Amino acid sequence: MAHPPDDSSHQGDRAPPRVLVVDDTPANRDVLSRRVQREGYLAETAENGREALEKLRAGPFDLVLLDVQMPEMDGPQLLEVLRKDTELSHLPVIMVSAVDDIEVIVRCLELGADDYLPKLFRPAILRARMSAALDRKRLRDAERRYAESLTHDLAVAREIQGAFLPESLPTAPGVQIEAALHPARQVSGDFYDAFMLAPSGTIVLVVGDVCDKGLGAALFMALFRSLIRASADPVEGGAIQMVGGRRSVVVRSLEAATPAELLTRVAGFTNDYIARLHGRTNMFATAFLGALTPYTGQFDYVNAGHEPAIIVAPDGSTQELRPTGPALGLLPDAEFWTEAGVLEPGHSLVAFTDGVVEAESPTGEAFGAERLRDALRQNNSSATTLVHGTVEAVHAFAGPTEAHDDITLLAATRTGG
Amino acid sequence: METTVEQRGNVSTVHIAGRVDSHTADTLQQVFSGEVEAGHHNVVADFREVDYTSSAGLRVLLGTLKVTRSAGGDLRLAGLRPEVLNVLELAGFTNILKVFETFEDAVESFDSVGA
Repeated sequence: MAHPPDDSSHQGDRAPPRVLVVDDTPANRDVLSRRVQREGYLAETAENGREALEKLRAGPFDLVLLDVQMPEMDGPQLLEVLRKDTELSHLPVIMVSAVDDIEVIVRCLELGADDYLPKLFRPAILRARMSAALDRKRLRDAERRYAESLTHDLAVAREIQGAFLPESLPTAPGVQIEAALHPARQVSGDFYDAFMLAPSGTIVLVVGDVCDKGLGAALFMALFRSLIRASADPVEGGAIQMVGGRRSVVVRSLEAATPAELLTRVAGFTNDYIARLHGRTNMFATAFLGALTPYTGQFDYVNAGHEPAIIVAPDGSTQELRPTGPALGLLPDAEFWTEAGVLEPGHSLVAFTDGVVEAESPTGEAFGAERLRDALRQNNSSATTLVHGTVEAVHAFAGPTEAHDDITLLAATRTGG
Repeated sequence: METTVEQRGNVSTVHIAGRVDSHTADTLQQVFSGEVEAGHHNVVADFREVDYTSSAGLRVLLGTLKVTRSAGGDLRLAGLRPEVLNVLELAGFTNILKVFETFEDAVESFDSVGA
């Protein structure tokens, strides 16, 4: 049947609205159609609910003028079908009825009709009701388009943010590394990284948590991760020569630096960069930075205001690696210290974000440090089981409760002597 | 989260009760900003009734600390419960912020330092 010449997908807001007139009496259809056209709208007609449904599904309409009593499928029946149809549920419907079936009109309004008109209507009233219904539809459509574009933007952001996590984790004889990040929302303020420094074979391990949530935290996640990676890894990062400021480092001195020196420089540089260049946003991140030598198990770390990382021994005993400096980005010129240790064979180093311990059960109880240690003991056979077993334990504890915060875990297990 | 503001001499005291998290941090920020914009740069945040603060709350404290200090005043904290104090200690906030055990000590500290 007659479709408007314009392809519907190219209709702008200025295209005339399309109105479907549904009535089994030809004379009524003609009167209504002419009134609709006089308003500058496009009118199409259907003789009953079934034909109307076919037309509505075939092409986009903006408004339906719907008779109540019709053969095949009557007005209320069509209305019920429309309101259950995801594509058509928001289509405005004005019931057009004989004056005496008020009870049916009430039922139609309850079923989701937008308005009603008596069959002996005044043109001015028809005009006003159609105009009001179309205005509401335009508003709803605009809201839906806005929501769709936000959803699309967030999906793109999520995908791009995923590329700020390492594509693969480093492998070295004697060490197994595993990590997981479960965002509470589309995008995340958590991050992790793990990479091997080419000259020395030292593996750098990073777990970070940017303050607050949402898109702001996600933007800063990208910045913190990049600053840490670029300042720690002159070979792959490649950005080291661009580094300025008081703590500037050059490739030569970086290669000669001990892992402990490297970590304090990375923490100091990242801290000062954020505090000086982004200070007015008051954004900061807590981070655990570790440097592990695979062959010996020797490690150094800087804990910048982050949840203590945990060393898990084969017998299940644990040791905390507590903060050695403030969160990154609070104030310029903060001091960061390093601590050192040895990861013995069979021991694991587990760093995580506070989303793990703050995960809540349906009754509002926090997962907590004690349950975390239990989960680590029960999954203490490899980095893979430590990470995924603990994530499973947190998810089982939280049940259907919506996660408040991102959950990130990274484990490095020393597998052999 | 609920807040009430009270003037004590040259000190604005902000009493906070409940949870400071991503949902409530903006409200707390507005309360502190209101004091700073009114020229009140000596601020005590009364944490006695705060049972939780997330990093979003810490961010508000950091911002308020910076603006009050740059205006010659300070933000000082009072009455932190152990679990809240632990969050501030971990992130290094207790090294950059002055923290007092009692509310009165925090208010009076502005007199003795002559702020």
